[in-house]
Amino acid sequence: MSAPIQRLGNGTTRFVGHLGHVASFAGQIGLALAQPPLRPRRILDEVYGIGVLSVSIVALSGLVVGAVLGLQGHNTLVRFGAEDSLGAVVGLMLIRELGPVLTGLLVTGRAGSAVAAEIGAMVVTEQLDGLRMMSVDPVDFVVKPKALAMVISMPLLAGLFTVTGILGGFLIGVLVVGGDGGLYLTSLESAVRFREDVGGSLMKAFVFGLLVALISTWRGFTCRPNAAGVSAATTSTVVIGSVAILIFDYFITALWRF
Amino acid sequence: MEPSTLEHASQEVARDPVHIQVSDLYFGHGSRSVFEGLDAGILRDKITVVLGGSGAGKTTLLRMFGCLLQPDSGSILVDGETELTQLRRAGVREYRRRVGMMFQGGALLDSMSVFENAALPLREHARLGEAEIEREVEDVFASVGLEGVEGLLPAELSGGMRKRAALARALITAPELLLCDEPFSGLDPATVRLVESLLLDVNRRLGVTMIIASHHIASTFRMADRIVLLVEGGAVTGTPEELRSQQDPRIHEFFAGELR
Repeated sequence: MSAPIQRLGNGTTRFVGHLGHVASFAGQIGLALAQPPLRPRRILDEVYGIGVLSVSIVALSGLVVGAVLGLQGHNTLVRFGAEDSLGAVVGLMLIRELGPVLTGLLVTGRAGSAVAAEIGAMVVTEQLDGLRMMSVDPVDFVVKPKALAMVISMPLLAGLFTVTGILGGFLIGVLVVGGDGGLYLTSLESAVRFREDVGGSLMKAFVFGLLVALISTWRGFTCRPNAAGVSAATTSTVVIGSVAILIFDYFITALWRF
Repeated sequence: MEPSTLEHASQEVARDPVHIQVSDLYFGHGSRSVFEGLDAGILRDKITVVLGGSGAGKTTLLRMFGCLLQPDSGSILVDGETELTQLRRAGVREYRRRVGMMFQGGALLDSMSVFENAALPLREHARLGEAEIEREVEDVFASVGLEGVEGLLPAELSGGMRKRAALARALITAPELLLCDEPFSGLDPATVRLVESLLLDVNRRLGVTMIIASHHIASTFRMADRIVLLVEGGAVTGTPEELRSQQDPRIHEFFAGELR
């Protein structure tokens, strides 16, 4: 009887310990951000790797998701005679929910895993120890630019996903299915409130950027120094990152009604 | 008042010949203990080679000298005043500025060119202009016989070149102590001799205390002033001749096995 309770207690202690380490790591990144040098060149390089190289997959996914929403939305709204509201339905779903969440999941899979793998490989090849021996803080030199680039890129990519999604909805709902283009845009414009909807969407994307930045850099930084360790860090970044995005999405939506 | 040259000389003479004193060091991985009361002294300005079988703790000891690893207990005293086991973060940063380390695989940053790798410590810590940094890097590359590869990435270098680039990066800040982890591993015999002569030259020319973790016996006997042989959690220390003439069967066995 006591064994399961003991296991539960040990598991809880380990989990809380992990959270403490992650919080301490987040504190180190925050401290590095607050101190010069800012390393703008390295940050721009990382924005290119994380953000610019994700543009095509995010834009294409946004277009396809918008097209599906346009088709499904039209088929459903026709039943209620409300097909004039297609623009509002597609736009609000993308802005409030699907844009930031699906972008978060896509970026976790494409860039978050790459960040964890790259830092993990640096652990294996002793590059981080090499930096330490030169009195260069690896959190400042390696982690900070990647984390900052992730936080900068995520809202921009979520915005791109939303815009291409609305375009996809327009292409299908108007040009293919034959809805009214003017009504699509008018209903979209009248339904979307900038501060609540667009602001909330960008805020969600920003929080997801923070989450993926922290999880991917933490998993890479603490990976075991072998090939299996890098593999585990990459996999767990995608799994933990995706689940964290979905959980935080619920709480942000419930607490702030975004 | 500026101290005279004579005063400088007398200070040099007065310096403790022991650069690092290791006392009663204990360390283990889980249930396996690596060091059990290890004692060893590293002499200043000399080449000390740390020898031992696989898992004896050569790299572990080197990493402790670089503050990359902490022992479970014991003391590592540098210059008779800096206790490495007690240093806090700022102290570690300060200490490492006096130390260079050449890692087994080079540990060069693979996203940066060879030039940028060598220039990194100067960019981070020295307030030098770009022209001065270029000159410093060119000088250190020339001293390790590495020219014409500045723009290449580490992945584009051969094993020997990578070792030399790592040595150049370790030397760029003129360290007092150079730690070399398996500098001869993975090299052909000709390149081993080349790296050997480079290390000897650096030691004799710059007066750098050098600690080399290696299992390359032939190189050890060619270049070591002192040997620290790790056996059964402890260490036997002496000159190559002293160790060769030791009657201790464990030492005999080690050298016989390695030289067979």
